[in-house]
Amino acid sequence: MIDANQSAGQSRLNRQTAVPALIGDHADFLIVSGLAGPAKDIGALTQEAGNTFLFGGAMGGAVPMALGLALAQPRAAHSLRDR
Amino acid sequence: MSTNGGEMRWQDALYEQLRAADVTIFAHVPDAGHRVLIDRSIADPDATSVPLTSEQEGVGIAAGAHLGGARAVLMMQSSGVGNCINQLSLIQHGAFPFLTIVSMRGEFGEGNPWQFAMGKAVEPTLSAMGVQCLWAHDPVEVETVTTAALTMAFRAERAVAVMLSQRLLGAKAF
Repeated sequence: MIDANQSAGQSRLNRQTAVPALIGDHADFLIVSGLAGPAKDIGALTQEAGNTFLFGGAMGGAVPMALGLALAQPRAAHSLRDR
Repeated sequence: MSTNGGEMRWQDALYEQLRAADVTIFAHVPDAGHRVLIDRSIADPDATSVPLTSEQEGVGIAAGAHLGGARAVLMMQSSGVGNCINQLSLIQHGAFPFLTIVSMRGEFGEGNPWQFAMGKAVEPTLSAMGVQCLWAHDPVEVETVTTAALTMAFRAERAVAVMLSQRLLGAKAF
C-alpha cells in the first residue's frame, strides 16, 4: 500500500491498493464519490454497481449528497469519498 | 400552533402542507424570510432540520434524500440562488426531483440597492439550470402554488422553485 521512494526519502500512498484496503467489501456500503480520481477509484472497485453514485461534475456536491442519503437511510452504512 | 388573530399564519400553513406531503428534511441557511419554516422544522421531532454553510449544499442533500427515499426542501433567500448554480447540474443531469422555496429580495419595494442585481437574475438563472419558478405574491396564493410545486417536484420529478415575493413577505428597507 505504501511505495517507498528511496531517492526522495519519502513514501507515497498507492490509491489503487489503499482504497480497496480501506473499504473492504464495498457491498456493505452505499457509496457516494466525488468526481475525478475518487470516482475512478470507486468505479474500478465496485464496477459501478447499484450501491454506487459517482459524480462527474458538480464539484463539492458529494459530501452533502451523502449526508442527504444518510439522513434518509440512517440505518444503512455509508462511505463517502471526495478528493 | 401559532396563530395570528385566530387564523393560522400562512407560514405555518405552508409548513404543515410540506409535512403533509411527506417532506421531512428541511435544509436552510439563516434567513428572516424563512424564520417560521426554520423554527418549525427545528421544533418538529419527526423532521430533520439541516443548517447549511452555503445554500449549494442543500442541492446535494435534496438529491441524496431522494436516493434514500425521503423528500427534502431547500429554503433560501434569492441571493443564495447564485451560490447554487453549478450544483444544479446534479439535479438536471441526474433528473432528480428538487423543491426549493426562495424568499425574494431585490424586487417589489426593495430598499437596499445591493439586492437588485441578484434579485433580477434569480428567475433567469434558475430557468437556465432547469428549475421552473412558481410565484406567490399574496397569502391566498401560497397553498395553491405549493400544491402545484409539490406535484411537479415529487410526482413528475421535476425541479421547481416556489418564489415568495416581497409583496407577500414585506419589503425590507435595509
